[in-house]
Amino acid sequence: MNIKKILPQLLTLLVVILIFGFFSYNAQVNMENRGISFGYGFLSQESSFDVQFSLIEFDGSHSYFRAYLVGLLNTILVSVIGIIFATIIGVVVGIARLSNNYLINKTAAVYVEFFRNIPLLLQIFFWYFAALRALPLPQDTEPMFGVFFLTIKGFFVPAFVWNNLDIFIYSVIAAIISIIFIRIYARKKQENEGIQIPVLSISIGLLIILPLLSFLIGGVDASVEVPVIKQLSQSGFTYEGGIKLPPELISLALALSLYTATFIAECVRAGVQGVSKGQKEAAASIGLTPNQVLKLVVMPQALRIIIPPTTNQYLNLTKNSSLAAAIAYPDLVLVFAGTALMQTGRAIEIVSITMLTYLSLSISISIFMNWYNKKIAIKEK
Amino acid sequence: MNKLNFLQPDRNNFNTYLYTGTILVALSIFIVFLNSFFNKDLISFLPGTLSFFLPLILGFIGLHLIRIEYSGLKFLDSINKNINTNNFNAFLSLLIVFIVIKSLPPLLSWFILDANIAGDSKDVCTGTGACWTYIKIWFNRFMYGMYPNAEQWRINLSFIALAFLGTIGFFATEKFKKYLTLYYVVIYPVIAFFFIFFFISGGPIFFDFSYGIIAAVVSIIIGFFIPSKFKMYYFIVVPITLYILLKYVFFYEELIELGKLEALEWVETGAWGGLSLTFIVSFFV
Repeated sequence: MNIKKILPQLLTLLVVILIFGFFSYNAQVNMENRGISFGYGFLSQESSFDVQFSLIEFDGSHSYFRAYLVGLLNTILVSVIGIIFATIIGVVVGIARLSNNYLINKTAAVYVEFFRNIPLLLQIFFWYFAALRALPLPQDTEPMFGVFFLTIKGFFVPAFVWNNLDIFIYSVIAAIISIIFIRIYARKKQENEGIQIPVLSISIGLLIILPLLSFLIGGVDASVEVPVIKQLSQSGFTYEGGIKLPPELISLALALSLYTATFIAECVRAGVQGVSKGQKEAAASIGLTPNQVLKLVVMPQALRIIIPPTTNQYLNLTKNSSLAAAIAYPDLVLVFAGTALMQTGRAIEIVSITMLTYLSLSISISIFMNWYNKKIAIKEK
Repeated sequence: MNKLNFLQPDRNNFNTYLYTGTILVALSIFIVFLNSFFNKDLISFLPGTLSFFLPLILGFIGLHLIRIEYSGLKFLDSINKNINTNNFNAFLSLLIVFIVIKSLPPLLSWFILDANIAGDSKDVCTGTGACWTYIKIWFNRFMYGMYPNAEQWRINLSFIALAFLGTIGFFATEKFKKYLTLYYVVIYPVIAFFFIFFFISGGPIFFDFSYGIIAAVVSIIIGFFIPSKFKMYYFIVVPITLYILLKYVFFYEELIELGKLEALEWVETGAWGGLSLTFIVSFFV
């Protein structure tokens, strides 16, 4: 009886150990034969390649570790942009799909079915090769609102030039912290004495007043630097000043957010429809206004259905950002698992680092979302 | 007092509101339509921003005027119920209608009016529209990859046969329904595998992998009749033994010789491609 339970498990364990042993032995023997050494010392070597777009300063004289950081930051950048826009579009479209308005409803449905049924790689190609290549050259570009330049070489936006930026950031952080305290205090007060404090207006006021004070008293000063056209050669123009968003970043972020937004929209729809109609009617019958029904009855119950599948979509988006390699956006896969791997030939080390990095990125997202999910879950007793 | 209520239609002044509102909405749509299809701007005499927003404002006022709870007119009621329930919805509906009207002409001209489909080389594509000629010439490559043109009927036949075999279940009588699970789980994949790999590639029907399939299928079918007490030992021992027996004792060369499709030309898997390969991959993964 006992052996019947143990035998399959032992066999499985044996097979797993044998497979791992075989592969590591194989790798060891082959690496020895070809004279490849194993170690992470190469990370401090000079990288001697250049990256098109990086958030931190980088050129050929920096180390491979810094190349890794460049790739990691670029991956995080596109993931964060994608997650923010996917969430906004997804929530809007998800609610639009529930609209009574026939046109809005169908438009949202067409959007969802169109974008979720086309492979993501094709969408990235479409935005990069078809849509953004059709943009005008820098010298022919008409500015949008006078300061934004959408050209074939990228999107040029004005930049803020700050004096004493740290004081401004401190003031914003102080405003946020005080808002949190006020919220806690207001909730306690309402529970104990039943008195409501207008938290929203106080928060908005704080968020405006404290940074304003930092301008007036703290010596913070901001000016706008508008991109200006500059001639490089006979027919080559570019813009100087401001911030340049490369077309790779734009098309990747666009494709990722439009694609993932369709799934998030369906999650939102599922969540809102998952709250039974009787709940809304009961809430309305005890005299709550439509806004209160939404805020106090529908959303808390909808969120617990929305959050877990949306976490999946965030993870998908983060991992899908590795498709950046197809359009040469310098993300982790292209810079580190691509160029650095080609140059050093250290496949095992680099691939393991890259895999671990994606693993930790994904796990941190999922830990955060699980924490949030636990926080908003309805406490059932 | 009732007469002052000039923004809300009621039974008394219903017709006035209906006509005014309809004319306003029609006018706004007409302006946008002329602008987008014939490039004529009726309201260009107005200052820039106003002429841009005027159709929206006109349509919005018109929709507001015809919003009535129950009119008795079927069309009007369905409009009011579906796209004109309140101001916000009316605004969004108008916006969607205008965007559709605005975006139709460029799409139409790109897809149809300026596109080329005649001729048989890429050079005929001179217009700004789509180049369907290119698609037409390369259609076979998109569908079949590098698969030889003369042999493409094999792919077509395989997919038609698979679709036919797959749909059999829908027309089965109640009597056979209970056997359908067996058919879909065991027999159909084998048939599909046979068609897709051996018919399309034209190679031997049996090769190393097929022994595994035969061993698995045979042992699963026999496994139904094994008492559950011995089932575990049976499934550990029998399939592996069967596989080894099949491969090294019974038929080794014989099966391969037997399974050769003499009439069909061998097509390397490297030559497969295009949409048909996508279907094959998604069928098996």
